[in-house]
Amino acid sequence: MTQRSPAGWIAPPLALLLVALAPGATLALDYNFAGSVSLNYRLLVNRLSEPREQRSVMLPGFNINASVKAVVDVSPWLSATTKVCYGCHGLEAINMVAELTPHPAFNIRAGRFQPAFGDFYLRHDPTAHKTPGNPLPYDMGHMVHGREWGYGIVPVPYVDNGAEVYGTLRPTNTVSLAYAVHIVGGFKSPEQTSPNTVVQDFALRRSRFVTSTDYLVDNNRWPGIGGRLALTFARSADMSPAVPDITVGGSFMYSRYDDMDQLGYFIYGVDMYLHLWRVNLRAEVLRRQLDIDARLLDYPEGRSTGLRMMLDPVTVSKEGFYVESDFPLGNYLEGVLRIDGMRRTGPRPARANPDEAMLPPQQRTYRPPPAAALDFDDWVMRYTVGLNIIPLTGAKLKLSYEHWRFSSLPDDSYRRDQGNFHDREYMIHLALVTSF
Amino acid sequence: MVLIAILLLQVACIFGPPNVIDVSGYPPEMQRRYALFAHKCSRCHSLDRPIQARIGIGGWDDYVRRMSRHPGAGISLADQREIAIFLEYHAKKELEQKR
Repeated sequence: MTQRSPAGWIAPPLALLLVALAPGATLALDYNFAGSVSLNYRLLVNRLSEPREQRSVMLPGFNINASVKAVVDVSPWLSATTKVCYGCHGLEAINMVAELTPHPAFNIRAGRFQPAFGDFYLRHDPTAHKTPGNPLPYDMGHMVHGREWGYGIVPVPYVDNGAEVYGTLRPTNTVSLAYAVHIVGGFKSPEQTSPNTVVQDFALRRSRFVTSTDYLVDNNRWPGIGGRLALTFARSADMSPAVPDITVGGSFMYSRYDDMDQLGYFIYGVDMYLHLWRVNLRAEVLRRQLDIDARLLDYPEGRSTGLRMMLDPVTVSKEGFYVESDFPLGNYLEGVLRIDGMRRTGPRPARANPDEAMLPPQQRTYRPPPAAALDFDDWVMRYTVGLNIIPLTGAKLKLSYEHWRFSSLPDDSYRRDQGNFHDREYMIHLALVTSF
Repeated sequence: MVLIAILLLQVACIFGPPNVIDVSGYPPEMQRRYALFAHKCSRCHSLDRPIQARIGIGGWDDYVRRMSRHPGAGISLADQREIAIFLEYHAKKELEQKR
């Protein structure tokens, strides 16, 4: 039976309590209804003659990401928000939260929401970020070889059940220090029902591909904790436009993700934002340390795959970064430039069961997970040039060209044949985004 | 890549920001507030969102206040008021045009 963490139990009654205690809670003052539709199209131009290979390394063609959001301002100090999204994972609630905002320095929200982490989470909606897809450290489904990589470091939007306290301290009119501290259910992995369902990098699986129970409720007693601190200098109206707005922030998350409360993860990162004249410059660096249970690589009989010694110590590290700049080009165009990348070091799933080496292929039962195609020290880089066309208010056509580079391992035939890795990939990514 | 970046940045410095709405007929102080709104709010989202939001007259103060509380939003209390005044003014203008 699935266990619920303290955060999972606390969130619903806390949300109700917030509603009950709020001044004027019986009278709704205002409503706001908004939404967006984003139609994406991806194509690897270097694999035009290999339609099935495209599908094996990414999700080509069309996919849609649509959302609707309703906000009810119950009083000046209390609001409730519901946001429902339809995308690759089907229909899901990515926001269902009550928010109490009594003072700029102290606010509480409880329910289902995105915990504050890094700079990108606020811009997760396709209408908000400038490129068709997320930066690599925050990727969720747009990257080439995403299955092997387990997608980003914090796939965004990362939505969880829990509560968050946040606020902003303003020592001067131009300097502010924002904080956020959250307690949520935390990332989770599927139950280890079989040693062949190796959970490697993939604590962050949030989709209902697992089971609805695993997706919607917590899987262990450990709540996830985390926080964010951001120092901002914001140019005031009487200052020269040559003075930039600058934010420097740091974030972390920590919890355990398996149903035995044994395997931990620690994610941390720093971010920077600079706005000068009409140019936005953003940069983030993230790192995730993830415990891996070496027993998962054993077989029911207790035999090792033979790679176990190689797999110690059982920690995987994944680091990522992005540097991105966007700027207007007249009234109807925007330009975007981005460099991002990730590096993964540590154990990987076994590529074969040595005990089955003597068996003919059709009799072998071991199915290596996609991550087996990675190297023990692997990296990916991407260079993006984008142009956005804004024909009218509420509509945007995003065009981008992405040059992908993967670590070159010419002697690794498994990676080439089973993983279908090329050293370079070239992607065209389009997105038609509308907001209402 | 570097050359392309430099070229695009040069072009960016020549032209103005996208005018989501035409404020040329607005009083100078409202045009100034529009510039502030564009500067501050474009950090996290496109300007379409607040422009199209169905916030009732009198509701913008609370809305801007709440948005500004996102960690790292970087909008001072004084700027919140200025932005809310502009959005309130614009919402009234839109309402008048529809009538």
